[in-house]
Amino acid sequence: MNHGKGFLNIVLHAHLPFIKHPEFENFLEESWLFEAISESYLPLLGMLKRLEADKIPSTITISFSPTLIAMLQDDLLGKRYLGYLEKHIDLGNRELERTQDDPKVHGLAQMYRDRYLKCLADYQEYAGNILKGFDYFQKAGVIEIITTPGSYPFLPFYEQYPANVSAQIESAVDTFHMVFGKTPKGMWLPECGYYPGLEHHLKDYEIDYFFTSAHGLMFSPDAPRWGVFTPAQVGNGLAYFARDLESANLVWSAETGYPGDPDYRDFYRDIGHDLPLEYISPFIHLEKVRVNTGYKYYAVSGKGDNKNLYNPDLAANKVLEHAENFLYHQSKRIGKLDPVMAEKPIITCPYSAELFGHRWFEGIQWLETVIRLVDSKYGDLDLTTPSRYLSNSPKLEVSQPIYSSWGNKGYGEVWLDGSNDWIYRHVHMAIERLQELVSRFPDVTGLKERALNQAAREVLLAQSIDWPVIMRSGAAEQYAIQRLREHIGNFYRIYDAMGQGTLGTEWLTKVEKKNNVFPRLSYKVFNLGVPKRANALGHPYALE
Amino acid sequence: MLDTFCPFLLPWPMTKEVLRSLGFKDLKRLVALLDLDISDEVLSASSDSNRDDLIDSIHEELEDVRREREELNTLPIRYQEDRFSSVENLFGTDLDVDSVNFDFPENYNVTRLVLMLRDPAWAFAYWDISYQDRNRLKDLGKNDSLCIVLQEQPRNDDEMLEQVEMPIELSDSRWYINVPRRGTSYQAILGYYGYDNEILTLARSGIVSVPLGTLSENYATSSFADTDLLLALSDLQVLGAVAAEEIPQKVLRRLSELAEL
Repeated sequence: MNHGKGFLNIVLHAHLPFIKHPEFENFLEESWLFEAISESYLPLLGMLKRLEADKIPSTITISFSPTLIAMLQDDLLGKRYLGYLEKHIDLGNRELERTQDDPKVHGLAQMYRDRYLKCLADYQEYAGNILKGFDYFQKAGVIEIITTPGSYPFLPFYEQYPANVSAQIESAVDTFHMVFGKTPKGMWLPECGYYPGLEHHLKDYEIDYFFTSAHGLMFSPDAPRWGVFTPAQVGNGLAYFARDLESANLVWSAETGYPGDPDYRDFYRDIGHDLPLEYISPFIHLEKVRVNTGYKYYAVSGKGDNKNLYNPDLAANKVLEHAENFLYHQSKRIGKLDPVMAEKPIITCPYSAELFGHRWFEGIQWLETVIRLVDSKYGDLDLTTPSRYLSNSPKLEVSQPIYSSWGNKGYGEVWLDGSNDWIYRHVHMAIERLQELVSRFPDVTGLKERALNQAAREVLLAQSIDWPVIMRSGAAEQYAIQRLREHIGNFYRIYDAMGQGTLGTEWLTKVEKKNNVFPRLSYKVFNLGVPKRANALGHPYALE
Repeated sequence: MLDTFCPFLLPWPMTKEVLRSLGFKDLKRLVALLDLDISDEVLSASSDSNRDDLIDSIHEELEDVRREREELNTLPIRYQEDRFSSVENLFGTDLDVDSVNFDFPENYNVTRLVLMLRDPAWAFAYWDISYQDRNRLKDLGKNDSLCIVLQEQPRNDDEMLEQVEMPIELSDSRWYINVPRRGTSYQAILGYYGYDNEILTLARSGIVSVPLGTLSENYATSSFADTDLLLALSDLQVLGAVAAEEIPQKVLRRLSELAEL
């Protein structure tokens, strides 16, 4: 029952690029996944469990990108994650010894060591498949899980390739169906990247709603009367929720956002960088490349070199203060809007899931406190999810959002500048040549079909938004270039082989095992001529 | 407040220019945070000339790290070269080319033009010209008469349409184009000037629609009741620069008046 005057629509989008390197015993970038599991995803599950135990509905939305899902379900990465945990627990035990004469640091070392032990216990409880945990809460009606396009591309840059956009959506819907046994209702567009017309592809796959940036809606020539405080609908009936800027800024702002509070734990200071190499070498990359270990003993503190030791009690006080502050602001805004709006206002607050726990150590505590306070204290606010909100059939104004994103400056600059613009020539050409293959081999079976399906996977993986982002940042640039080279190269190997009638099974099998995303994807989705069934582009699950 | 100095927020790769913009204290901190191997003698220096030595040393160390990283990244290639030195024959002949050795071609042997809208002010165009067309242009003596034309697409009959022409070289293959007008659509043409200076088309791009990039007139013209309240609560000031600079002045004035709401 909703008794409040308005809604909070909290959305966490979980995404990591597909990174899996069986050819190495130890690959640095795979640790991005392990850190996110340990610091964000498992703690989020812990939060959901605690709230359930206290009979408090969590009522949030979480999107899992198909590439992340593929990694979370991968046996090799699962085994490697256990090795990662073992190493971190071992490091914790050593830290307990090293710090025994310093009670404060010792307490922090124990806190981290115990967290890794808990991760291990939780991970084993889910038999290595943490998505089962989230599915449990979805089935219990506590959370809503949605999806994102297959390899997480910035879709506006693929507008001229509609079959490719369909393939991205189909691979997402298919992956979702495979894991959760049903089709998703919502689509998180990577970085809120939207272009007019995208809604037709989404509707083909029976998506009910998506999200845009604030200006995607408010700069629309026919912007709805109440701006971001109500969802609107596009001409074809799909609903969209626009991101609220004020609530985003409270968390995201580099200047004034909560995570920068001096009492919170500092992300950058880590014993992986602070302690002597001979001590830390067994726990860092290849025993010589210093990396974060997760053992971080300092607080953000003030400007300057001297950091204060992290004090979890002080941080906990700040968590409560910031949760109260957040809800106070939202309650005040809802209070102003409620008397003048016909429908109850809704504030849509999307955040990266990895911000919580990983970058902002106390973030999950903060989110849990927000949820608890809404339940106990802020009777004027209700938590909701998009499907739940839409199930009450609110009247939605028709409004055409504009091309936009939530990236820097609001459009496509992050993914299209001097550092990364060269990639589109190659990725677009690979799409065109894949479509050429589809027209030449419209209905092959057996090994040729396997090869073409893998070609489609490689072309999709080349489109991941992460590669141009990494190139722009400069850090790990060579890795991003190498990945693009790998996917485009794999595609052309198949392209050439299909033309010459040559291909190695060993090679194909190895590539299939390595880049094992979207296992049920059919290359035929790249055929623009595939007849649509009930607007479903031939997709088998959209007709449920 | 967030710590203002974080090496990971500095431009990367870290050039000497970037390093020169840092004070002594931050340079030393950078050395500590990145655990660079710099001698104590260089680190303890405090004069300007010694600062240059410190910058040189940091730069050299960073270059070493970068090179080492590049070497690490070539390991997959070496591994796969060994792994796939012989492959099973599937459809016919063995292939001994490792896909990871793929080199991105500078251009493709097709003639095409792709136009991508970066934001309401800038579009990005890239193109390829096939060898056949290159030869044809050479035969015609037109290989130095190439151009890109950005053409506004008509919405109604009596509208004056914008058109921008940019001469390009045969060696060019991409260009950022300042979009002359917003709230309209554009198509680009890759062509060359004929003998009467008319533009002969080699390739056309798709059509891109340019948003106005400005707050909806619905709000600016107060066609809605309570627009003031909506604007005050929407926190539009935190939109990015491209967006914010395009908010009509009258709306910005209202936002400023309503700041106390």
